Amino acid sequence: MAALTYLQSLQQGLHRAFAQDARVHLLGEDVLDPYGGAFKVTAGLSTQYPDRVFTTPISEAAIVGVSVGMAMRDLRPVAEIMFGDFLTLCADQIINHATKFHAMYNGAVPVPLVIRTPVGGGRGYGPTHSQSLEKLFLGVPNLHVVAPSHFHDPGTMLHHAILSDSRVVLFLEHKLLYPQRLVETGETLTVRLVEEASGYPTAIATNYAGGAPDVTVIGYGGMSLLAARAMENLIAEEIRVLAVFPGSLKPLPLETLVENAALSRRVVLVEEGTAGFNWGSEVSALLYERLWRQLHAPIRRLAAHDNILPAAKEMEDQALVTTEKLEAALLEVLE
Amino acid sequence: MSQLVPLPMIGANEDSALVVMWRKAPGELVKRGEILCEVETTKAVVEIEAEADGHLHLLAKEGETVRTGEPLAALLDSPEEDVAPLLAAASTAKAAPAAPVTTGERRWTKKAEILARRLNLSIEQVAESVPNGVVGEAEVLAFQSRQGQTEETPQTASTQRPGIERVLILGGARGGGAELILDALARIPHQHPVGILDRDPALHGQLVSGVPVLGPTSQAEDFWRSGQCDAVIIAFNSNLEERARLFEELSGRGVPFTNVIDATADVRATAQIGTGNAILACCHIGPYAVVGDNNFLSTFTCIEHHCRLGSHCAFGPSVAFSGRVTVGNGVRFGMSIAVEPDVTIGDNVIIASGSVLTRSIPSNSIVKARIEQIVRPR
Repeated sequence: MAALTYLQSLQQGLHRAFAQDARVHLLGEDVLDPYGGAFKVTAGLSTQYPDRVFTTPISEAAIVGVSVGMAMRDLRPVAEIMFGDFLTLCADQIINHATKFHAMYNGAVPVPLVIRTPVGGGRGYGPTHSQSLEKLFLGVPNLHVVAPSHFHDPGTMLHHAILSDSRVVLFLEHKLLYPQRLVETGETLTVRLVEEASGYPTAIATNYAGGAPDVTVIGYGGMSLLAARAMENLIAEEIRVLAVFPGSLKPLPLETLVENAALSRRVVLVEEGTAGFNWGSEVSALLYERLWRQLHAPIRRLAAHDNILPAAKEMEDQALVTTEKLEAALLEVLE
Repeated sequence: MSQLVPLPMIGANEDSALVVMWRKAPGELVKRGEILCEVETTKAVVEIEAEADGHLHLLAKEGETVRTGEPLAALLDSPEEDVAPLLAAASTAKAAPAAPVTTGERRWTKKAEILARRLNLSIEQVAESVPNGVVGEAEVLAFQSRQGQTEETPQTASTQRPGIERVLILGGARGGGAELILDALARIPHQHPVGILDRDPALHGQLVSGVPVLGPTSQAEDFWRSGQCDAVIIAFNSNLEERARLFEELSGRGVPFTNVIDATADVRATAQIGTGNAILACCHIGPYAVVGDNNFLSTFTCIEHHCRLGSHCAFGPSVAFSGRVTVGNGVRFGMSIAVEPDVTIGDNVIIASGSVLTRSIPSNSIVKARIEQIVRPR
């Protein structure tokens, strides 16, 4: 049986959560059947659970604001923001309300809320529908930021976020991953999941069997697509690549990252958001602290240009990290 | 010419569309620009028009969902034409394999190339030793271990190797200078001694620290021109005038000199060093110090910060300059000499062991130290 697609896995994860717990509700724009959401993640859900799926007016602040209220009153809301770019409109609800109550009321008012949103470029959607804005939210205390790759089982992670994580979870789904089949151990790549205290596993993929890796690439979310292609391309070049993709960006599974970075002592960090003051900044600082004098090469960080994302395909490729750029960086740290 | 009608990309967010209704009948001759059918996306109903004349052959039924780029229909030159070749051509075009990783002239993997660079091997040379097939990591390592074996056998004339400087030593075979330089070279991975030239014919054909004395120093230029060495260095310092003359003569003819700097010597990042210098164990060349050419610095020589040392000078062990000392050319230092800050020493000066220089010394001087020792029975 062929593996599920990333989209199918998310759909099934939502259905499992809805079936298991009647407190689970979903709010968002155009989420009802037959449309089923802009990226079809909610397809079939409103038909099966007409009382628990709400289509909303175009107000992201209201979607998250209402969801916060629902979560405070013991429901398990899932808010869908049609494009991750619109998270800016939810920022006040997330930063000044949702993530504060748990601590302000000394643990008495948990806000178990999941905010799901598609992120990323590569589809020519232009400057305001292609961004990966997670770096704006990584510094928010008590916010969990989760981004499944296609090395993960995203449906299981979504199910965990909805039913087992009592904090506010920003759940990032990369648009390019939706139609992709999940990567399972096969002829070219080997994939395994490492359980983490956060409940969101770290995916470890390799393009070799046995022996030590030449280089470790650490990334998240949609970067697994580039990593998988680069790893397949580099098999014939005998470059042994170890890919480490935490499901949770924050909290960070630091021990797993340190352990796998130390295996090769050469590290490339890759993310799709803009360069500088990003996830890679924090990860590289922590790796340098832990692996002081153990690395064979400076950590190489890849990210998008620190500028807007153009709509034209070729210009978008210039701005974003591509498989070619990742491959070049992997070879560069080996020199 | 017969062609397929693929579902165009209707919206950036649409991967497929539903065929609602065909406006033309199968087999009907349609004209370019006529509407063929209506398809429905998640947001709108769109008409698909013919981009050429032809007989319509349906490939999708009403109510069927077609993915972007997949054919809705074909427009054929004749109603009887078989559509299979068109579909086959379209699917082979799509399945055209990506170019293989190893193409063109390159016969080795990138790993092999990187590894060869790390090991100072020429990947071309490794590839030549492997008659056919792709050269990988294993072939590079095998080549390296074969080389390691040949290295252990004594060398007379060395062949050129990338990343390795083959050094020819001039003089010092009898006085010990050559042995000091060979001792330093033993710990320098990127410099290999290839032989010694010495004026004493009795030594020719002998080994000094395992390295052969190949002939007189007058052959230095020939050795270099015939590709038997990459650079030379002078090892004798008994006669500084002769040392200077040989250096000027050979460098004037284009023979390259090299520095031999012991692994334990400490040359600070901002120090500048010319060429032809022997800098032996535990020397210190301080920040912003400038060292000329063709000097011989024995162990524990300290050229402190901002000092300026000329050329063709020789040092006994443990000569220490304080900061901002200036020294001319052809100066010979005994051992254990201390030079105070800002002192200037001219050219062609000889300074005795144990001297403490507190003021500047003019050129062509001899500095004697007044050190009295009284030895009496205990």
